[in-house]
Amino acid sequence: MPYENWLWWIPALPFIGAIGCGALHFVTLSARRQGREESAVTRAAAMLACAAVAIPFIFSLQAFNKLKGLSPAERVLESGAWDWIDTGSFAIDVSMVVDPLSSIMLLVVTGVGLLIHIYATGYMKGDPGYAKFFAYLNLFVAAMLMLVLSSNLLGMFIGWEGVGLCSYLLIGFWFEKGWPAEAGQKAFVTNRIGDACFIIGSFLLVRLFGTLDMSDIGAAVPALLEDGSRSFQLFLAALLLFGGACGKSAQLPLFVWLPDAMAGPTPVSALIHAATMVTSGVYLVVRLNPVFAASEGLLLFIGIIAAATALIAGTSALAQRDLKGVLAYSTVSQLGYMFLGLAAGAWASAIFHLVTHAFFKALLFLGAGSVIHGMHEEQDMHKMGGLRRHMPRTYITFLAGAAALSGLPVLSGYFSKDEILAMNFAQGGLHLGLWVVGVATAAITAFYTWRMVGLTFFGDERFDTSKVHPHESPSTMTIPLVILALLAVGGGVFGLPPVLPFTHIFEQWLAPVTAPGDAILFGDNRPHLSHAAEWALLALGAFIALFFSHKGFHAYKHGKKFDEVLAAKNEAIYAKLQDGWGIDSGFKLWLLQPLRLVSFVIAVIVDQFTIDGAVNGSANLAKACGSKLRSLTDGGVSNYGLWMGAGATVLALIWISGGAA
Amino acid sequence: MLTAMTFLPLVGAILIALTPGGAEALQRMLALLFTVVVAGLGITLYLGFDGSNPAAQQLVEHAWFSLPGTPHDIPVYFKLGVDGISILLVALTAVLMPLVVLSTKGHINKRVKEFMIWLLLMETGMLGVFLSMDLILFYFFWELSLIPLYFILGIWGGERRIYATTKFFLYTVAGSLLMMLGVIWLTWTLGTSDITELTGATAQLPGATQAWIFASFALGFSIKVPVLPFHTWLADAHTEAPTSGSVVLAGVLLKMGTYGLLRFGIGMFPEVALSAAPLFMGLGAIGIVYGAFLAWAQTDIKRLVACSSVSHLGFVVMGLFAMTQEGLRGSVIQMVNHGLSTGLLFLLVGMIYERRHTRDFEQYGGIASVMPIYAFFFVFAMLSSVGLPFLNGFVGEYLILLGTFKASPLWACVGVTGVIFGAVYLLMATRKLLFGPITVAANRKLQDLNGREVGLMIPLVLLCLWIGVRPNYFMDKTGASIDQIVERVDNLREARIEAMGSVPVLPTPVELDGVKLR
Repeated sequence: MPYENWLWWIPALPFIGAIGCGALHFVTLSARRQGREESAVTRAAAMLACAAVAIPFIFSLQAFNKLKGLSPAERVLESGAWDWIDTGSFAIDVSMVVDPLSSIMLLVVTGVGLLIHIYATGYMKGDPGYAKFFAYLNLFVAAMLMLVLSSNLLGMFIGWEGVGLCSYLLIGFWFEKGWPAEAGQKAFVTNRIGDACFIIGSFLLVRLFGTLDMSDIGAAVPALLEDGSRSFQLFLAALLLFGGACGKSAQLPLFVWLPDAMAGPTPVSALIHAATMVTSGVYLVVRLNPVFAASEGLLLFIGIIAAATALIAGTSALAQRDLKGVLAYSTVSQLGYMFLGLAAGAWASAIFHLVTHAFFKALLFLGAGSVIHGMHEEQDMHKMGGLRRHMPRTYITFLAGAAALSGLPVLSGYFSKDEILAMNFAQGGLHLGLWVVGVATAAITAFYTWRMVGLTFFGDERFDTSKVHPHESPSTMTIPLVILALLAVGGGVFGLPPVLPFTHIFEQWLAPVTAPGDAILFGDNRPHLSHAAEWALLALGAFIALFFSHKGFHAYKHGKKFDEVLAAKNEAIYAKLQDGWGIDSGFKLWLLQPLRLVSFVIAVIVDQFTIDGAVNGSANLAKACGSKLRSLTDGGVSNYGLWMGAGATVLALIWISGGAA
Repeated sequence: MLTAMTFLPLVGAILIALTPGGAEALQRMLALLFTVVVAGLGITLYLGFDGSNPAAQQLVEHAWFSLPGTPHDIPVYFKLGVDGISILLVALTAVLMPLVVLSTKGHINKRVKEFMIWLLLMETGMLGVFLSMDLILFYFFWELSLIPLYFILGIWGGERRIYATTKFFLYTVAGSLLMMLGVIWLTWTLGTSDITELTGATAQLPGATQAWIFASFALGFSIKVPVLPFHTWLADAHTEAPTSGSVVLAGVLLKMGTYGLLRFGIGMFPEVALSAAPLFMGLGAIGIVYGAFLAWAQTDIKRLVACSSVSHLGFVVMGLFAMTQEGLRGSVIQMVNHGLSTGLLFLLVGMIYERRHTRDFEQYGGIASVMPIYAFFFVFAMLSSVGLPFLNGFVGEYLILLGTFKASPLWACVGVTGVIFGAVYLLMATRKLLFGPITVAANRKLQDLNGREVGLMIPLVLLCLWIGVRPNYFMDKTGASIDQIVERVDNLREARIEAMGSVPVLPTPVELDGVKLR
């Protein structure tokens, strides 16, 4: 198979774009200092940034077509390797690989990424850091593509940390305000907790397999399992890698950074904190599915974490007043769904939900951005209302996204969510418990989604109409909304349930990648549902989505009163929900503050008093013995020479006496 | 060439001494000229160095004097050479010094002549330390490199310079004396001071003798690194030193300690080092966490960077005493990395200090909005220090942790938390300095970096990127010499395991039938 070296251009182009936009940023700065017009420069930056994502998108389509032309077993394109690290006994060779899994991720990252870039050209207009914003955004796309394409776990880690960096930079983009910078710092540090697990996990893989090449690892797992004696180490490695995934994909308990991450500009929330970066944990698990499939106990553990995350975040979304806050908790909750799918070994379903979620959540975030833009930076839904009259295009597209998120029948979210739940149901046993939580969360999701719609777009205007004049956003912003709305509505056709007389395009496409994991996990008896059961589950899903959407919408279509009713009913619980079940405060109280205390104890008591005290104490003793030493510190050269001479004499004396002996 | 490299700075120092006192521009120019020439020589040396040859190259050997001994006198040679252990540090020293000279423009405004003399003298000392192939000569240069720093600290330092200088001096003297005992003992018993010969001959010594000499070396070098708990001189010295002093101290002088531990500790006494490895790995790992916590509690930005050195050098020490191929290679590259990223951070801290004359975090905040170029470089240096992949720090830290994991998973797990805590304090420092609203009026009219300041950081930035993306280019040079040590250590390890009759400590990848591993 010839090397497809052009694949390197896919991450390289946005990287070049990032450098270009960064340079243009400094050009705008100097233009501003000299009072020159800077709009030409910012326009160039926007064009460059969009082109740097558009061309990789075309390349991705090209790669996809090429794959389609091959027989399923041969669907791999690989570039030549870059010999990054080589110590002799340990080598990291990174190549860019497009297989069915990464081809889907490629299209999502570059496709949704391109739409968000176009949207951002309108959204960020007039911002003093316009070119810088696109530099970061391009850099993010480059890192994300590196993450997706890398053949090697450590190469993937480059992208993994790179997206974390961009997330940090973009959350703190408006750093002058202070709290965005703190939110960015929190995101980076929380992610680093996961990364530390990731690193140790990779060491265990090195120890077990002698390589970090992911396809080699996958191929070697069955042989390792036959041996049996090392399966615990494999379990540990997978557990640690899942720890890494928890950080990036905002799972319990490391999700605390994601709600704060909303401090960044809204296109960032859409691209990084909904559609792409936060799903990289899911991608990691699917990429290494044989490693994770090796331990059913681990999968169940993942399922429990995922179900708890979905439920906790879903209920928290119920009580948020900040429009983006609802979407943030909703994202955490939906990521929980994806991991719920992985827990049942439904690799393809998890990726399917990842894709549909990318469509409808990016759409909702961009819609929210359009609302915030129109409302002059207002994010509190209690101060909105009736916006459907002012922003018709945003309203219609937002409805499409909301319908998909709440899982209304035949929309994309309906099919992908149903599949995950059905797979858990089919597995039976403890997975039934996960299924119950999943169904409950589906009800909650429907409710909070339509609460959000009701509060934002219906009822009376709860803002001062004489001061705030909501307006529809420019077409650079609404066109991406329309495209994403079409995808959110129609995205389900890629994964129609097996009971319908169509092929499940997704599952078929991903089969070459997921087959090894399936073989390890299920052998020949993949859990199967009867047609009747499948229809029943589909009907149940439809009923729950419709019923709770209706409830949520009706409670809020006239205003925010129902929130006040709920809050009055049980103040403590409501406050807890608003606070995300107090997990963030728990982190501060039980982890951060004690560690801070430890650092002060170390700095003052241990270091200054004990260690340094001992040092100074002995020095003072010495000083008392020989006060002559003080004259040394006066800085005279001759003195020092004298001392050196004395030292040399002593040395010589020792020497001679030694020689004599 | 090595002789020229070592003594050209000395020649420069003498020339500067001959210039009239007031001719500051001329003195600066001369210092720059000589350091640039040495840097050129250093780069040439690096390019011509054969990484596949484990032995010392470019040997220069002259009889120097002889010491009385039994059964015959011990000849001491003036012997210089460069091998895989020293090549990177020699190149780093040579490249760093012109930048240091350039940086002095901002903060050395009194007694320029003297300062330049000391700086150049220090370069001679440092290069001599790394290039010496004779133990006595090494010790001579070791002492020589300390004197200039002592004056630089004492004359051009901050308010508490006398305290810091005294502390530095006492510590250093204590360390040097201990080391001197070891040097004398070793030379006298083995009848030679040639480092290559000594390295081959130490195995003949009785175990206890080896252990004592190792201890004296290890203690001396540990103070220099500094290894916990000998680190308290460092924070004071760094905080009080002028910027250029801090850069040299962090960039090169501390590396003399880790270099010594590698060449004279592990290289000469692998057997003792193997026994002492758990202790040193532990001290390194604890140092990583301890240093990070220490840095986190600082309110003085320069002190924070100084404490971060304790943490970063903890990585180096841990990797060295893992005594595995990954650990050693990672440590050697990490020595350079620390010089680059901490050097950059000290330069940046110095640049803001020159403008505002305070190192207190409270006095800053929001600098990024008035000094965007400064902010770019600061964030870059911070990321390099935090160990972001694609930048230099990651390669070193990852290899060190991997190497340590093979020798001791426990200490690797302790060390890996440094990845988290490193981010904690460095990001905190960045935020407090650069981000948020501007609260102090004086910060509003700060001037962004000028061409000289940017120019002197560019080479360091490029090196950070280069090491991050193509680490092999640098590690290949060190390979053969390190592998030689690793081979010796592995043989010892195996012998020990055989003696104990237990299973191998070092795990091997599972044998896989029919699976092709790349």
